[in-house]
Amino acid sequence: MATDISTTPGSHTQPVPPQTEPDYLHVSSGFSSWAFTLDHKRIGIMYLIGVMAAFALGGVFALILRTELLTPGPTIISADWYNQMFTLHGAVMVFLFIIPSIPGALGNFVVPIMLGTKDVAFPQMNLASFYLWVGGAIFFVAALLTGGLDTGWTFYTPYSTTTSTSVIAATFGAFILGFSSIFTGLNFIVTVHTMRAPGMSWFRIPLFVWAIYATAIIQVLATPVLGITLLMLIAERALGLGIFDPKMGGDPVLFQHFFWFYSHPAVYIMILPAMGIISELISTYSRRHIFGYRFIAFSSVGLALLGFLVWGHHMFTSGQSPAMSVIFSALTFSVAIPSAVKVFNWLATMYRGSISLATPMCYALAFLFLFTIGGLTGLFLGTLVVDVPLHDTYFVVAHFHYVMMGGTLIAFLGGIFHWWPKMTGKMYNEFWGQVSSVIVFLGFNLTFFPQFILGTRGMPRRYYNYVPEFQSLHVMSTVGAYVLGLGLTIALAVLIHSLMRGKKAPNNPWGAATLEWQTTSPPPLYNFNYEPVGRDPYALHEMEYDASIDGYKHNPELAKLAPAH
Amino acid sequence: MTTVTDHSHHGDAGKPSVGHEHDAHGGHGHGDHPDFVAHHFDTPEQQFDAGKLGIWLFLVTEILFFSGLFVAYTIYRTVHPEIFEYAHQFLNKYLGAINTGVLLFSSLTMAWGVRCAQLGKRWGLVNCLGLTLFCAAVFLGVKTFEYAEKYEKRLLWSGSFVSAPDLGKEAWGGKPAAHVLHVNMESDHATLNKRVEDDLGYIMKLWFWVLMLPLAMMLVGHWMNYRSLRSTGIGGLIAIIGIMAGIQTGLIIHHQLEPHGSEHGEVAHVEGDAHADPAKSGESDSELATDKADHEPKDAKTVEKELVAGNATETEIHQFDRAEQIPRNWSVFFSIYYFMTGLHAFHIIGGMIAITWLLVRAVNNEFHSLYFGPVDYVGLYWHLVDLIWIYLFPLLYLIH
Ligand SMILES: [Cu+2]
Repeated sequence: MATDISTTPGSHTQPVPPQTEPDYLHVSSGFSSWAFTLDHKRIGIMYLIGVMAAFALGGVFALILRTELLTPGPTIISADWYNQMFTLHGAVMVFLFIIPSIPGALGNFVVPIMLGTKDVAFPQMNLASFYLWVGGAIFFVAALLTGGLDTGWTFYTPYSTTTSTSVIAATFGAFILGFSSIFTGLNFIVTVHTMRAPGMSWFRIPLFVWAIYATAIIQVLATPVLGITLLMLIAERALGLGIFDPKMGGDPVLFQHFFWFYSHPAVYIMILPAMGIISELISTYSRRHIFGYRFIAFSSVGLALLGFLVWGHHMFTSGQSPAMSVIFSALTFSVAIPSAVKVFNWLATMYRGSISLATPMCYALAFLFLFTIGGLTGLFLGTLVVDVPLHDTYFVVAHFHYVMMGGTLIAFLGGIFHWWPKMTGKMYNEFWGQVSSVIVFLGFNLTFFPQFILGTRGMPRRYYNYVPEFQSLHVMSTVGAYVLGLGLTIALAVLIHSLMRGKKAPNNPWGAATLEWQTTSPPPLYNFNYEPVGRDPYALHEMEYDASIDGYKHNPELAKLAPAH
Repeated sequence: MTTVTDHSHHGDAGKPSVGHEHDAHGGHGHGDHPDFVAHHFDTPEQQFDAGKLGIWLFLVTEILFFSGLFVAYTIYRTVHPEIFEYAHQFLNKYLGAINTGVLLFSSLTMAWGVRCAQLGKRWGLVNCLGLTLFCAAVFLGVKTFEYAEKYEKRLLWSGSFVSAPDLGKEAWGGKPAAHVLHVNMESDHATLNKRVEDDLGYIMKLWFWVLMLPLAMMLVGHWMNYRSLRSTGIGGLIAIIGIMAGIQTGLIIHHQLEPHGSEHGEVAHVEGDAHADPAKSGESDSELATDKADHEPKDAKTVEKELVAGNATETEIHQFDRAEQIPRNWSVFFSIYYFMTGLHAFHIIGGMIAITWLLVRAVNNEFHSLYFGPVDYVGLYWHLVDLIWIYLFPLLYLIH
């Protein structure tokens, strides 16, 4: 594919050679060139398609659930089907979508380019990670088709060892997905340690990479514990192990400990990469150097480590000793500190910035609102006396949807819009992108804010039926879910339209200073046509707008005028 | 030792080099990009460091993987120490000790192999890897014997007693009294050993036929002068011969240690010791030691008969268990035992596959002082598998 020479990036150190290599999308073609690719960018694209399909599946389950809850009693499905729907909604969203979404899709695509390297450290393992994801997804679908699953995504014993639904297929699927996640994380840690370009010192790594790195630490340390827990659960069910079975002297609460030892840190697997995206977006679209780079970087690692110490806050009502509950509660509050550090630094970055309301920034602003609400309501739940009445109510449902969906999904969308021109070489319709973000934001709040109120009034989660007094709030929530679905559909339509009709993207449409924006859009197979050198990733003032290409170029002259941060 | 090739090689890119900017990818200041360095690495050092960090992280995940089991073990044992005290006597600590020694020795041969690879000593490496495989097979051979013996005695995980109707009367009417079972089976050691040995003999025959595959590869590779096929054949031959010799050795070891027929060897003596333990009542101990002396009360004997016949009721079994000081839920010990040692055995098998792969590559002369990473990484993995056994052995076999 011929590329206009004038659009080749401003290299920082040497004259740019003419673009002679095809980009990664055109370097080879055919099914096997994708199925067996070792290119991190193609693997990232395959992940992107996969997780979006999983999200669509989980989203359909969610819409069915919300429709069922329009009226008390039966509306469209039976109670048994309702149990299966919320279980599969949760399991698909957590294991197939949120956990692999940002690291697998955006991380795979962007991280090696941000570091100025040709690929991740272990490309074969990267591909294996994707196929393990596919394998896990197949087991999930198999569970769906062979008897369903009605345990909730948490697979709590003793119910999970006694129900007649396909627990083994689903947990084995989750077991496989765990290895997929471990492979991704291991790859990123090694890549960050050993594959950085010359000059790319630890504090020149973009904050998205720091976030992915911190995520990878959790993936590597926590996921194996989930793996062995699920194996024990499978053995308990298939063979009768006795470890979780009170009849045999075992302890079902031990399962909860094991499960949350993974699944609380997994919350940070879900949210940290989102925070990384937000750091990139806020800085780029405020045209300001990121404020407090080191604080944001260290707070990512801090969250990763603190996340391991708080799992007991899921078990305040499970019969854990009061002393344990007090300790876990106190530790849970400490998690608020690094989270707040990030939010304050983002606000400080925006302060006196020149904010452009491009689509990714609209999503980033939505994130700031929603994540803050989700985070603060987490403190309610971390407080012992408040948690006891709120435990297992819609308040909890609303809280984690504000964090997981309002946080991770919104940031994921922002990230997709931000990196879309780089991934596809195409621009999208800005106006409709912005419209999608506004509708998603409004629909989201309409869906989940009423659930906070429902929860405080005592509506338990996972219930098929409810008293008539709750109906108006449930109807609001359901209508909100439809609006949300509409917003997400518009976002998808914008992206598909861009693929078909989008105009050609310049190398650096946003004026970002990280390395991925200095190479071509889309990048060549080995990412760069020159030898990249690590620089300050947030030196946005060095990027100069060039109307002839409708994009930005690096101007070394501007570097001398370095303004204060 | 292979020499470092000097032409620039870009892995699987499969497209013509396009001038100087292409070289920029490969070089970063180094003109040559040897064959053994993957295209996305700049130097052999970078590749080695990446692999080393990768394998250490992998070992961390392995430790955390097993840690869940160790925690479950610790909690269950803290709550039910009596089960562990009672049930561990059914494990043969001599076989366990031998296996520990065998694995430790295999770690030595593995480490020696890494050194050989670093020095580029091709046949030294091949020998060391072959020996390591041999040790692994001894370990698994002995382990197979232990499992088979327990299977024959129906010393299985908990669920197999509660919900295994296919085991029929041998499942002792749902809840067995292991003690009776054990006594009953012990008298029939010769038959048991014969059956296990027959099974293993069958496995050996199977391996013999598997041996034909690398043999054919070697010969075909030799005649057609296809080097890597021949190396694969030779490597496979060495691996399989090592494994067969290992299984045979495991069999001999077991033969030497296990009591035969009605004669009570060391093992029976050990079990006697365990019963003399203060935790158990002296009475039941004497009953066990003199089970043919006809001292017991008549109705206990009747119950025992019914147990053997599978006709005893639940209440009778409970009474019997209580009289014999058999703790409830003792079979959870075997749940834990099978889970932990089984998972460990899977890791041994995985290691054997990796070592066979190394063996083939070693015969093919692929390792030298600049490229020995895979040997090093598999070696580290092997040490970890060894280390896990070093924890499992005392935790399961050496209680008290
Ligand atoms: Cu939590």
